Amino acid sequence: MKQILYIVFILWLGSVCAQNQTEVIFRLKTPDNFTLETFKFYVGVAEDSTKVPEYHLIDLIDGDSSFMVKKGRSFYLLYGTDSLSNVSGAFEGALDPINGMYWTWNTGFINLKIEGNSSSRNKIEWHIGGYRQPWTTSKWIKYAAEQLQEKKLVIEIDVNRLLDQSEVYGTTAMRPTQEAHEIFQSFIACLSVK
Amino acid sequence: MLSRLILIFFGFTLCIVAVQWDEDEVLLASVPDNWPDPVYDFQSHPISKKGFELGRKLFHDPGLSLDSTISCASCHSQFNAFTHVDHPVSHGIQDRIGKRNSPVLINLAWSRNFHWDGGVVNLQMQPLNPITNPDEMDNTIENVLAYLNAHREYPSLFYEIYGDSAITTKSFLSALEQFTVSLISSNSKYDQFIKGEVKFTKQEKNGLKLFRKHCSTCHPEPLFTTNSFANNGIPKDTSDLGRYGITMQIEDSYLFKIPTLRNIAYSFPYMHNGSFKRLQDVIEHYNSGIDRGDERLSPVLRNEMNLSDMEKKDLLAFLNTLTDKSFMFNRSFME
Repeated sequence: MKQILYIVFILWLGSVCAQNQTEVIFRLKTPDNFTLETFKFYVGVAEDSTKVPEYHLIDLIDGDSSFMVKKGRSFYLLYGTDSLSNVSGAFEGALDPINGMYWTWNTGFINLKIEGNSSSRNKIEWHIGGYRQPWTTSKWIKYAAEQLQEKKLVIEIDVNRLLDQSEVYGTTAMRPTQEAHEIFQSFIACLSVK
Repeated sequence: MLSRLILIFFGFTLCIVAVQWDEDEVLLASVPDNWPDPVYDFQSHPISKKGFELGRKLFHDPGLSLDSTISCASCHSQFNAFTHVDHPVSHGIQDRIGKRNSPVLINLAWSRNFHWDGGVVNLQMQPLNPITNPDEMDNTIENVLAYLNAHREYPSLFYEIYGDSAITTKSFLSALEQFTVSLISSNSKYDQFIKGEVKFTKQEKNGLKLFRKHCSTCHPEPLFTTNSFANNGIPKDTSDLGRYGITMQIEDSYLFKIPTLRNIAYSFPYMHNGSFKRLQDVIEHYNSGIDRGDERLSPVLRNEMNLSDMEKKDLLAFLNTLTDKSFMFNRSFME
């Protein structure tokens, strides 16, 4: 009997906690005539932009594309990774180099990885990273409390708009450069809250 | 009587072993007096004996390479000041030829960047490069962790140090770093001379004078490197742009890391491409072999050195005083 009470209590606690949380979900606006093989990026959550955030690796093709935050409270998302984490020793979890989002030859995280094929466009292979000024590839964005009143906050990525940039920047990007910085800026511009 | 003798003999042997280990401990932990502060924080990340030994085991383990044929020590052999001699550039698994000469592993705790192009800026993360490079160990982190976790001994060794027998990228790299950061060479004849413990010969003294005049801008004492990048007049090879490959700044093209000169007599061949076999050739290069008109050439090399044959010998004699036998043959570094 006691055990059953415990279970009921835990379930109740779980449901209360869930009610106090909002799920942040990333979604791709499906690209035209384009098959995405990889769409991964780092995003860190923090209460303010001076803190080292808690990182998530978002994998929109075959992995996690959401995480929970506190309901009704404003928060910051860092798209990409902070510069200190880039030059530190190894991490566990999302930033573990085993996740294939780390350059071993030129220290630093690949903050955004997009790979794919299309009939109309060329094959795209963008590994976007870099923490050194001025060609950084990270950006803090604040999400206000009023955006977090519901159970879900959906952030959509307009991939078509982003892929159009390949005409400007070429189809391959593999190192921290000005092009990488600009592709990352475009990625940020393609995010919108639904 | 016999049993007593045996006991005495064993006791005596134990004492010797203990004394020897104590010496090793001192060598491990010591950050030399009057040296600049190390980049590695020994205070907050002290080296433990167990961590060091585990790192040493990993360093010598060929299981880290794809076909289990080469270990870190294959290209960084202790008896060659932790580099690979005879080969101008590194040899990987199945004798695949790399791009550059394998560097020495000496006083890494004082280094801010690693590799000839300085691409890696954290010692702990450095091993990921040779482990995954197709021309070196050609392996993956997944494979290495699978190998270690399935190993007969590693899980319990990691448990003793990190309190977890599940080996992760982080615990694997931390253990390896405990060993590599301990490779400190500070007991050469030069060091003993500076401390007033030994005397230099007339030739060595003059060599030191010449060294301070001609070489110490890029190779300052006591580390014998600035850890920065320079063009030292090696003929241009357009297949390797050096530092440019990392920074993409045109002014960094054909610049390579300035290496330490400690134990230089043992780390032949020399230069990033291994183009000089003998130390005499290196001296000759700086003395008279450089195209002084090359616009990328380090400004401090613009002028001829004009050394006489005798002076070249003196300089060579000084460079030989940078050999640290207690480092090269330190038993605690051995497998």
